[in-house]
Amino acid sequence: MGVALSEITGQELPTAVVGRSPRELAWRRFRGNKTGIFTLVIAAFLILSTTFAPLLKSAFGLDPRARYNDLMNKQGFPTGGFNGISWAHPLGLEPGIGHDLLSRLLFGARTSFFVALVVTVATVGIGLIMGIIMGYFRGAVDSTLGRFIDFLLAFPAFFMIVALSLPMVQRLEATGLVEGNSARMTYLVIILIFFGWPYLARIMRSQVLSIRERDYIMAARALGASQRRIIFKEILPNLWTVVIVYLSLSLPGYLTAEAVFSFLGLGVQPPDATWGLLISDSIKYVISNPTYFFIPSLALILVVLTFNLLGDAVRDALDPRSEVS
Amino acid sequence: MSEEPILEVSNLQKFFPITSNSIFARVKGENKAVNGISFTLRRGETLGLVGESGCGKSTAGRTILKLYEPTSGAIRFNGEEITNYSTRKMKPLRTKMQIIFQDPYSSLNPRHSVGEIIGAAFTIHGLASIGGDGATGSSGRSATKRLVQDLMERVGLNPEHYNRYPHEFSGGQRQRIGIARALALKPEFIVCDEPVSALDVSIQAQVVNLLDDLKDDFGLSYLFIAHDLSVVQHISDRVAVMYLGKIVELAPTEEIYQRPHHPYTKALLSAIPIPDPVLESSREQIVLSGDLPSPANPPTGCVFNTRCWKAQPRCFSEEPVLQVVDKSEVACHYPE
Repeated sequence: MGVALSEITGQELPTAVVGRSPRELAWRRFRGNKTGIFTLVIAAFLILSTTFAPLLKSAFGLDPRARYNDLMNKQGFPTGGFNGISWAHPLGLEPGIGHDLLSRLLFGARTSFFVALVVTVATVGIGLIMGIIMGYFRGAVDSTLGRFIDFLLAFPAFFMIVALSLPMVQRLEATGLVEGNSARMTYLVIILIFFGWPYLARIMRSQVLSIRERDYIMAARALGASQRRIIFKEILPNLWTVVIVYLSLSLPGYLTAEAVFSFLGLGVQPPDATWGLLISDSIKYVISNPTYFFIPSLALILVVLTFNLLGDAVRDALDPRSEVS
Repeated sequence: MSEEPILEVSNLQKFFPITSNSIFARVKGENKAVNGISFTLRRGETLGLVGESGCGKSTAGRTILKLYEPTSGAIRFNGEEITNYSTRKMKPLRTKMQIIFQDPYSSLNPRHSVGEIIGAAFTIHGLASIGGDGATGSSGRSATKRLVQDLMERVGLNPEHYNRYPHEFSGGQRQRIGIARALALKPEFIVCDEPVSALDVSIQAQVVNLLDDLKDDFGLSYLFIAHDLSVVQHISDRVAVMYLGKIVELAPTEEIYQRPHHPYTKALLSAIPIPDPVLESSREQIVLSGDLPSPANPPTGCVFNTRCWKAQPRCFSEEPVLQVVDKSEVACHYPE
């Protein structure tokens, strides 16, 4: 096309030079990061295996409710040492009740991941929107929202979550939409979101306050850019690094929070499983059956570490200033 | 250069409110950054705007482009009164008036590639298919790309660097990116807000010469804001000297450098070093005593009276207005 045009106009037209797109560059940077690839594989494996846990259940007979009393001794411990690890039960059995530990972990992860994911996405979403509104529009909006955030942060959130648990769960059950474990899970999701969003909102507000005064925002306005373009195209891309770091800290944080509240008896109750319940149960056996204690705890540590490292790798990949190998 | 004015500014004021930093913000005062300036810019002319830091020259440039809402006064662009135009009404005019910034680091979004930065102008004004053959979609994009690369070449950048990010460029190259962005929509008028003061001296000359060349090629008029008097002398047809939000002297370049009439202009010019050690050692320098007064509380009478060595009682009571002295306009009761 360039050749034809230059023939017509008799002018030398610069031919468009093909270069790597920003997305391609980011992927190249990510690919060069061994930790990133490694954690991505682990994260993908974790997410896939928990998502398709019901399929694994039918394919390999991984039933979280099945009890294998024939493999337990009279004291209620799995026979064969190391928590009764065998080909049929790769992580052994739960002492006392005799459930298969691998299937408990997989099905428990469904609940734990679901709570953590919903809370993280919601807090990041709300925090990001509120932060941008406060930082961009400033003035009365900023001070009103700012005082509300102060109020939320000054609240003893942990005690409120514990104290409100029973009445709130009863109210949720009274609506007839949810009951039992789903009601407790819903309560946990709602209350964690309610107390969780102000942190990111605060960080985003200060970032936006600083970015909106830069000359490139002024340049965009001088070009006639709409407010929408300024917020979404000029400001937002500069917030992603912080959001991703926050995400990678927040997801394992809420995973742990869910474990803590289940541990305290506020979350999901048996016979359903969550990681918090497993850890809470395993503490009883820390001396008598340490293998059982270490498995769910190490699983939690592994997941937290994976998401932290993955978040770091993604942030590095998205930063145009980092080197392309 | 025609006599037809492209820009007329009359009695322009821009005050920034000073608010208390408490829960309920109260306005405590006003920072009178630009306090009633008037001038005309003829088509094809370069008007230098000089003054020390904090005298309101950058604010003046940005208020003229309506990047700040003017407090009072009038701005007429091509005979059209734009003082109270809304953002929406300003949008079509944005293609005709542009700005080049001082800091080549904060003026480019670090998350956008050079292509995106320069091409933003076409996207914002829906000119992605400006290729001329009515191309849309992907061929429209490649037309934009060609235009952007054309601009890059014009300002002395390698068009192959289309997909690079600002941090991969030097200060001078980044300033060229800023210039290409301002030129994208073929404007008639550009506010150059200290475009070279953040650059090395060797790079300064290149960028000033580039701006000079582009002026002829694109038929531009410049409002050239600077504090470096030798750069202004090189590029300007006329020079306005600002002090504390007011224009104190406005004259053709040659006139102002040969025969300054305002004491402040005289003091400013005496600060230019002479690149000859013998002459430099005998250079008579006027050193102003005291600091620039606060623009929130400017002195009554002549704004320069706190630092003027010639100040008379009249200077403290009566504010001087711009009046014609020889070929210059001077705001002084006792011009030299």
